[in-house]
Amino acid sequence: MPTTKPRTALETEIIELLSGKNQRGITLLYEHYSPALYNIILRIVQSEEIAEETLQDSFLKIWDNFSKYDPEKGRLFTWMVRICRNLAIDKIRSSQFKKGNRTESIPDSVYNSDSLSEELNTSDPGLRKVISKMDDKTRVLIELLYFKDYTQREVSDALDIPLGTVKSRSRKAIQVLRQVLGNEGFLSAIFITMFETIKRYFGS
Amino acid sequence: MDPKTYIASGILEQYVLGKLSSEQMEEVEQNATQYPEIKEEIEAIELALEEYALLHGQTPPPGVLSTILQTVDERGAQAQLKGKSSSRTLLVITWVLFFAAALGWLYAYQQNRTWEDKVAALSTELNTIETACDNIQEERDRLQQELEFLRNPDTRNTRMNGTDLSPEAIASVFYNPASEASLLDVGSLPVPPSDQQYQLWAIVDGAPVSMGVFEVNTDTSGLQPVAYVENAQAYAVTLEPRGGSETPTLEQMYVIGEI
Repeated sequence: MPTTKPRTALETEIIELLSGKNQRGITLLYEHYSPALYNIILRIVQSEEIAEETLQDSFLKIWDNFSKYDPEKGRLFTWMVRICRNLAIDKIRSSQFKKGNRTESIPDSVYNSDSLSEELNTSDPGLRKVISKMDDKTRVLIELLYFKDYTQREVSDALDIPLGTVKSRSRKAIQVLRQVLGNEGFLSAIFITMFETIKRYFGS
Repeated sequence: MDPKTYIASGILEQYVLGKLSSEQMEEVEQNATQYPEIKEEIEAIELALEEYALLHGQTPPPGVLSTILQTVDERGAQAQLKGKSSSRTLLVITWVLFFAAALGWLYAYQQNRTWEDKVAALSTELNTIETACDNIQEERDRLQQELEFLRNPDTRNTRMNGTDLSPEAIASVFYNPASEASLLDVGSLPVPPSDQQYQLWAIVDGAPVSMGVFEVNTDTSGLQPVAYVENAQAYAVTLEPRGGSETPTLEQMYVIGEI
């Protein structure tokens, strides 16, 4: 787990660069976030070719629309994930018009846990540590909601759980995740707040 | 609203996961600005999912970054080029307009000069015609007066016949005792040499009285006013040196007529 402090400094730098239309902002953004974003896109579009294209489009959209990002409303990463996810969904919608419904074509691969076993076999020790601490239910729920971008109804259908409980279960799952990520996650929030305050205080 | 219950409802997770409608999202954002604990909770959820996502990173194929940067560069260049070419177009348009205006001005200038020349020519012509018209008017008035004089019942006429010197010549004197005016009709008197002039005489009680000299040439024709002499018994015309004589040169008498 990388320390949160430099990442926040990096975020601030990226936001400043992109606000000033400095292309170095793209490079920094790409170096640090492209693997995570590429993964999220790939989980949705399930084709490396389309994922590559979507990633390119996403970065261009981030570059073009950066003035619309409001740091007060949320984290940069959350905003970027939203852009990537929307573009990925647009891509599969336009290509799957011919192939059929998304919900029908995906669930098996999720539940049969190709990706889960991949996760478990990952060489990344940090991820191994985190995943080993999570139960299957939590993992699958986060997989569907976050990586596959299932709606509550789709989750309810796929996991055969009542629609009314999806919300509370997803909260539970994310709380487990937060616990697993440990106090580091909590601490990082404090760090971020402190860092931002200091930075603002000294005037960046 | 109790922030704790709100947080516990799980709506913030749905918010971060992007499962809410835009109205619901706005509501959450509104609450987040109002309650710091909601904002913190959102950030914690974001951070957890972010960290989890970062752990799942998969390196994208090489070359994506360079493609992105290239596209951004090209777009910038295109925008610049567009700006340049549009400014060049503007320059061309400006020049075209300038030349069109210059040509138009030149044409208008030439046209104006042509008109000015025409106006000058017409003005001269008008002047000539006006003068001619004035002359005609004068002539007409004179003729009118002559006609009135001749038609006056008191006007008499004495015809002078040619002497042996010029048997063909004829002239007449019109005189009006009421208005005491006389007119001479030079008739068919021959044109005299330039150093000589005809002189009209009235014979009053056997003595000649000069009624003045007069011109006879191709330009003058018709009637000429002459002095009125009362109680004339005869009229005669002699040819005298230019300026006239005190007494008539009888050898040079051309016409004579008795009343």
